[in-house]
Amino acid sequence: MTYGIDISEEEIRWVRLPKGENPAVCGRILLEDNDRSPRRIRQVLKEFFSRERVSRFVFPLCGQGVRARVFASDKVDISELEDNVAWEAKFMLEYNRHRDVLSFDPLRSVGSQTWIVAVAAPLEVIQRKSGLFPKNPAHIETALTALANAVLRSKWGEKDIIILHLDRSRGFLVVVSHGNPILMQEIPRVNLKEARLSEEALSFWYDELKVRRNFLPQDKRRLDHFLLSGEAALVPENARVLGECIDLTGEVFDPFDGVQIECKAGEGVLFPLAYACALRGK
Amino acid sequence: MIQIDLAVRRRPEKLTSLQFLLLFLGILIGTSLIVGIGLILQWNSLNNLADEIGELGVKRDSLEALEAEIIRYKDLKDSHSELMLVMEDARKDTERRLDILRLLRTELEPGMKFLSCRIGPDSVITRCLSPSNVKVARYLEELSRSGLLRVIESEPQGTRQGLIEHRVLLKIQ
Repeated sequence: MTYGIDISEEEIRWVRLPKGENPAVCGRILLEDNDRSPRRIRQVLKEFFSRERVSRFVFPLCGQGVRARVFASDKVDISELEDNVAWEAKFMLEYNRHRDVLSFDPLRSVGSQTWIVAVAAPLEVIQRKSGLFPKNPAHIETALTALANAVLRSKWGEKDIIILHLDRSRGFLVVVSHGNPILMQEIPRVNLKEARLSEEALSFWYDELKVRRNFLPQDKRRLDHFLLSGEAALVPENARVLGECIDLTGEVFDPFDGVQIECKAGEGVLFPLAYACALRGK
Repeated sequence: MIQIDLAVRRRPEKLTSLQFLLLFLGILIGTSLIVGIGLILQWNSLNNLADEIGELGVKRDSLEALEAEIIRYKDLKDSHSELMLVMEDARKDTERRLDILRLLRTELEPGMKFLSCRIGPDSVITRCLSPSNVKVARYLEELSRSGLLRVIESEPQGTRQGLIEHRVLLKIQ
């Protein structure tokens, strides 16, 4: 069984999908306020791996230097496609082969174009995050592609939506259009102070969402819904208010909608990243 | 589903000098402990071997004593067997002499008297008194008929108590 394990600043969230007679389970391990050092996280994870007998897991990578880009290519030949990816990586992701690790995946083809997602992350960040775990992961996702996967596997997958995953100290924005992620960005310097967004916070997020929506091509700016997940979504009112900021209907995003899983009511919104990572084991 | 993978194999961490020193000390102490325990175990097994050698020495001495006793017993047994053979021979010889003596006395004719006899390994010399030579002749004939004795010679030795004394030499068959 593959575990999806998402480490945020405040807690560790994990999801195990059902296999055989074992039901799907999710859980949270809160990290104490006074000790969130890598050493403590390593110790907590070691105990968790020992208790749950985790042998295979995937975790989402995020933070400084983790970049993702989705682009369309009209190349058919694989070597030409690789050249295209190399060009995008070099100029759009600032990929440096001495410093970064690059991975890409061709998505669906639309007409003569193939949509491709490419991600790059510093090797040092990968090693530092991997070092928190007692074992090597089966795969390393990025939080951005994990969030995109969570949406694509849900009932929202074929619609035009913008989703914001907002935790206390991190934020990820993904736009999905007709089954393809078209924008994936990590929002830096997030500091969510209160469960219910204040006027000041709403003003900040209004600007953020408006600016980032402008990254979309002109023909892709018409969206259906705004979705909110993460700790901010524990208060459903936040989703409605943030949606109104960009003239969209706001809803909370629960990745477990339609999935049988042991989870506290209303807490499903915390697990899209861990859930998408666990899906990699399927 | 987007399937990107940024996983890279972890490089084995290099040891710091302190870790190397601790590892070296750990190995040294561990090896010393193992060698020490091995030597103690070897010492114990050597002590056990020495004890066993001592016990085996005592057993060997007692076995040697037993062997001497057995040899002495065999000697005694041989002597006993020899004595038994001698006794058997003597018994057979005595029985033969008694048979001869019984024959010499029982075959006497009426009026004859047995005086003496000397039985050798293969001959008998007997003396007897007889009223007549004819009776002596019959007596000798009966002795020969027994198959045990054969008359070699018989000679009169004069008279005693009005009877003729004969000396008879017989060969044992």
